[in-house]
Amino acid sequence: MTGRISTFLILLFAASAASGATITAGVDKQEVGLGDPITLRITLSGKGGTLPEPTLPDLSAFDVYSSGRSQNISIASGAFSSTLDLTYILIPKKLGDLIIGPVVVRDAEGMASTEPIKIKVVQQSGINTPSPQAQQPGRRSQPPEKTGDFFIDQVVDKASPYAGEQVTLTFRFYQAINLWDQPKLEWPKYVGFTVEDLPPNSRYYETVRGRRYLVTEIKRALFPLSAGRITIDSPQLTIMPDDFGNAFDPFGFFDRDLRELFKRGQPKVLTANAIVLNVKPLPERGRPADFSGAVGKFSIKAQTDKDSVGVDEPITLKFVLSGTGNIKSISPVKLPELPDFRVYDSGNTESVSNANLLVSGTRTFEQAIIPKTSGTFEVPPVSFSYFDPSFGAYKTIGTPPLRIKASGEGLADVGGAPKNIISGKQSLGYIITDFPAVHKSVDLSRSFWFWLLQVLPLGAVVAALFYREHTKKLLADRGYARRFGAARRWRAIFKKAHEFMAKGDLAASYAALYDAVVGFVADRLNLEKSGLTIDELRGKTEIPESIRGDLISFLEHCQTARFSPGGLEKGTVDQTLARAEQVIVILEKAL
Amino acid sequence: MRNLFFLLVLVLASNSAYAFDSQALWKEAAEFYDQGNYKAAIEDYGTLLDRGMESPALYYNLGNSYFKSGDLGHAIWGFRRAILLDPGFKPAKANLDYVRTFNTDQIAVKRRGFILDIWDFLSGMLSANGYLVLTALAWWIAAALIVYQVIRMNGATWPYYLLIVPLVIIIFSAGSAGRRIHEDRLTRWGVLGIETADIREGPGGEFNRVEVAHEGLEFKILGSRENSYLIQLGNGLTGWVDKEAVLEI
Repeated sequence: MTGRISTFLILLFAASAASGATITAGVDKQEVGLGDPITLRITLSGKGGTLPEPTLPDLSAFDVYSSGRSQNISIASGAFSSTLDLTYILIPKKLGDLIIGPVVVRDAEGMASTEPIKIKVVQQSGINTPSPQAQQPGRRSQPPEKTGDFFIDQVVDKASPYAGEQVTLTFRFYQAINLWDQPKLEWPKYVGFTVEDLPPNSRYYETVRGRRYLVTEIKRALFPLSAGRITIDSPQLTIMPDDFGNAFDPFGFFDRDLRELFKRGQPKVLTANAIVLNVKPLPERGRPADFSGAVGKFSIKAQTDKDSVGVDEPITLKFVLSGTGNIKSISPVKLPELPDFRVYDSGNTESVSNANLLVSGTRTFEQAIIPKTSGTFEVPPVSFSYFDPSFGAYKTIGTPPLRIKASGEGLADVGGAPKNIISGKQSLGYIITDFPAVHKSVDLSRSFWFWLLQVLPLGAVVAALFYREHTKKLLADRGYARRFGAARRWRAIFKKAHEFMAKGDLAASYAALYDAVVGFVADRLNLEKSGLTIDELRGKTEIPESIRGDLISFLEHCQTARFSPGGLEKGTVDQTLARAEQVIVILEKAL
Repeated sequence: MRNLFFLLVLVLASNSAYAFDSQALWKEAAEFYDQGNYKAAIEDYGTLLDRGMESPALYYNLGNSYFKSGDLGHAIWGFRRAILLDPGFKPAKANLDYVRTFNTDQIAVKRRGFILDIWDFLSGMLSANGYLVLTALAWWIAAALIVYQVIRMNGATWPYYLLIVPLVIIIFSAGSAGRRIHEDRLTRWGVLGIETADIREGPGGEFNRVEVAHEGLEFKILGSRENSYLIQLGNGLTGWVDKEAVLEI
């Protein structure tokens, strides 16, 4: 599979980065024969250590086999980013133009998807003659015992494997005539095993007991979980034969019984013999103390992205375990204690490949380590033990020690110094040594006075609006203006009356008082002052009856005093002034 | 009467002794700090906190002591508490900026678009009180312009145009004040106080891990259930973290 990926030709490249993650999808070819495999590769990358799982489109037009999965996590400037590669083998089930719909990924930031990929499926490009795979493990050496138009068969490459060792199961479907519809294959549950597909499937012709069959071959890797006798049950294949004629004789139809016309498309269920494996236990003798159940053939290496860093600068430390065997089930490698570092687990990644009918892959155990202080430190060796079934013995492999040099000053270094040891643009400010005063936090949003102050401008605006209306009315409404100015005017005249009185001109003083009162009444009733006589005032019903008498009496008193000044005294004038004020106050309320 | 007098003297004496004792502790903590005995300094400052002393300077000094003793999570907690009490406390802001550079998780704040990013920046420049004062000033200027225009009655249009300036300031600063009040006083914040903790999909160890958080990571606390907090990081990621790992600010 590695070789396949290295020569992988991305004919169609569809990408999207609408969300935080970026997703791309591509196939190795866009025109294939019916039954030929297509490799679909999906790459997802994004920030963080965990990527969302992409949602595959409807691939019912294909047989789909997972062929590999690998994830890489990297740390740059303290930020995580990840890349997930998924590989699938697709085998088209029908002719024509098929569409691989958008692969969708959703995360917290939104959604991203790929563009649809068009695949053209043409008539079989040429059914394989017995392929080189026929020589691979699982290929039978003896012909199957069954005969007939259709039958299925299953074989394994070894009958007595060790627990955890790969057993390659080969399933074959022999067909001598055409099918009315696509067959439906149902695998057994494989209790006691873990299972991996070994794509791609192959098709070829084989002659069994003198009859030529089209053979469809599917391989699977089974890993027995424990020792003992374990049965591999038979798969079930449901087919719908095309009874009109056989696959290879176009005129066979004419040789058939007409009654068989009605049997056309009747489903048939095919089964094969179950296989019993005698699974051997792993030997107790020579079992290393750190053995954790890995079976296969492995190698391990340790690596860092840099061997010289500043204190508080992260280093990516990786232990990469690779080899053949059930890589997914391997327990994590016991990583060394690193007391001189702050250690952050960056997660494990795995990459599985099923190339050459062997399950293999790589598991990476990654840590971000940060030196606590300056100095030269050692990452101690890490060992890993596994059972090699080809030798029937345990093996222990290990990594060499790694040296890391840390320089500069960091968090722990500053911890040992009294103050401001870090020079440069940024540093830690020194503590406050003066005992702080009692802290009074002022929260303006909860302060009554603050909000009261904000009401004042509103009051000013309201007052300005009133003033504006008042001014407009003064200009437009003469009666309003006279009423508004009446009080001011009588006060002015009263002032004059006082001045006359002070000068001893009592007649003029009475005249002023008369004018003030009559003028006030005229202003309030919006009448012409010049023609307003005492007699007219007597008939003014707007003036309340109770006041009118007093008013007339006062005005008559003023007239009398005005035209006979000889009889007046200063004290009488004072009384009249006081009375005039009383009258106006009463009139102000009444009018 | 005489008993009352003695009681008053006793209360005053105990208060002054208490104040003196606190001042002595403060001084002692500073001496421990200078000697590099940060654990002892933290103990003294902690005693002052236990006595009910609430002061930005106290949290600031605690933040410094925690940082120098290598406790990044508590250091960030201290500086943020100081800023919470006094949003204009510049030394605490500077120290917070500095210690944040030691964070393992450098969370990129989720970009919200050009306009909203500018809004985020501008609305973070002042404290809530600062924005309230700005709003009040703009409101007074706007009111003065309105009063002038109403009284003058000369139909001039320039005050209307000029009015746009304080109105824009009012809208912006009132919005910013509301946001600051919400974030500073109503939103619960937390910081991771232990070396690492799992952020999970649900409240409990049985849920899938979303991310590994490291000491000093700051987040909003959206809610809590059982022994976990529902948190949201600056990049929008949400998940659940054990309460024991979180220092609530």
